Amino acid sequence: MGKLKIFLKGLWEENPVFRLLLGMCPTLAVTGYLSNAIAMGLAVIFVLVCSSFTISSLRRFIPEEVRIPVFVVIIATFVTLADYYLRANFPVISKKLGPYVPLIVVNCIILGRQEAFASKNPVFLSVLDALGMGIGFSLALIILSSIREILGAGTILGIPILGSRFLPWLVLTLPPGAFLTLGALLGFIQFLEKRSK
Amino acid sequence: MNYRVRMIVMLLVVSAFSGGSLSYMYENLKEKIAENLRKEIEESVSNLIVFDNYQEKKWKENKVFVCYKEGKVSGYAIIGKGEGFQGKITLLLAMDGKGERILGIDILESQETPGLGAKIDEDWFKSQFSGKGKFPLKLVKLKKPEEEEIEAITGATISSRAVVNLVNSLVEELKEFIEQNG
Repeated sequence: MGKLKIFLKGLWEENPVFRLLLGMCPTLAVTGYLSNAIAMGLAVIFVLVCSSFTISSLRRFIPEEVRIPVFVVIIATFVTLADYYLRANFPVISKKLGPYVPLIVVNCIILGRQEAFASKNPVFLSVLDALGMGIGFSLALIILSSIREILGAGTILGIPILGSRFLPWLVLTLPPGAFLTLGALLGFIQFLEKRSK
Repeated sequence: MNYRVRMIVMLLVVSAFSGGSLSYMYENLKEKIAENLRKEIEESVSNLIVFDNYQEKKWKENKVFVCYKEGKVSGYAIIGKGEGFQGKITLLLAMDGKGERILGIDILESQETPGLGAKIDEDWFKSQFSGKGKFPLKLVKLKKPEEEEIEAITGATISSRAVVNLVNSLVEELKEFIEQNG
């Protein structure tokens, strides 16, 4: 597999949200507004890249039997660092994301990449893989939250764009809206896939 | 090295390193985090009460801020928590220096439904409380609110009632505080 391919597969072919259906908890929970999705995406990219880098560098020293606890401790460390950083420097966003930042620890995309890729591949490739997956995850969140915010609240990044005569489809910013939007998007992607074959 | 020993050593090293780096970061950032929290509270107090300086006091489970302007008490603010529609609502209530009238309220934290219950944080709802002096406050629907009445948010009666109840109980507590400390 070429280096470019390792990076690009996370964006579309193996997109964690649209193709692998991993990390559904943050995908459904924080995509009501675009600003939250961007912050969550950046936090996940940070944690994913740092963990992949660390675990890939240590891969020869981690005994097979205790690899999962070691992975989890490393991931949790970076998540907590990100949480402190957000709380100290971006209190508004940190308040909005609430418990979902600490919950990145159990985001299966991150543990999944360590198990499937970083623990078996050299550092540079692991970082590429992590970047691709992280950006793919962020893009999925951005697409979902844009649809939900525009139709559900009539705004984008808090700026009204649909005018005052537009009646917002409130349900889209509520939790059921996450399922509706994701379901419609997944159906649409399957449709495209079938047609291109 | 024995394989078992290697497992233990690896876990130990990783955990120690993780603990160390976290406490180092925390030590560096904790003042900034506390400062952010304080600034947020100070800002909401200063939107409601005019003051030069203030004193923070503990009263039962809540925090009370006694605000002074030119040496005289210009107002009191109390922060309390109450049960909302989903999760807790943290509310700041400001009253005048005699503890007779509400100067205003602010919602510091809430997890109410976006678009419905979350409207308790909108100005038109919060400003209804300003100037109220007759207690306990009552919640009304579909009519023009009178002196001790607050108009509910359409579609969010439970959240509105939670705020009114919380305000009533905080008014009681603040009056008690003023009686004993004023």
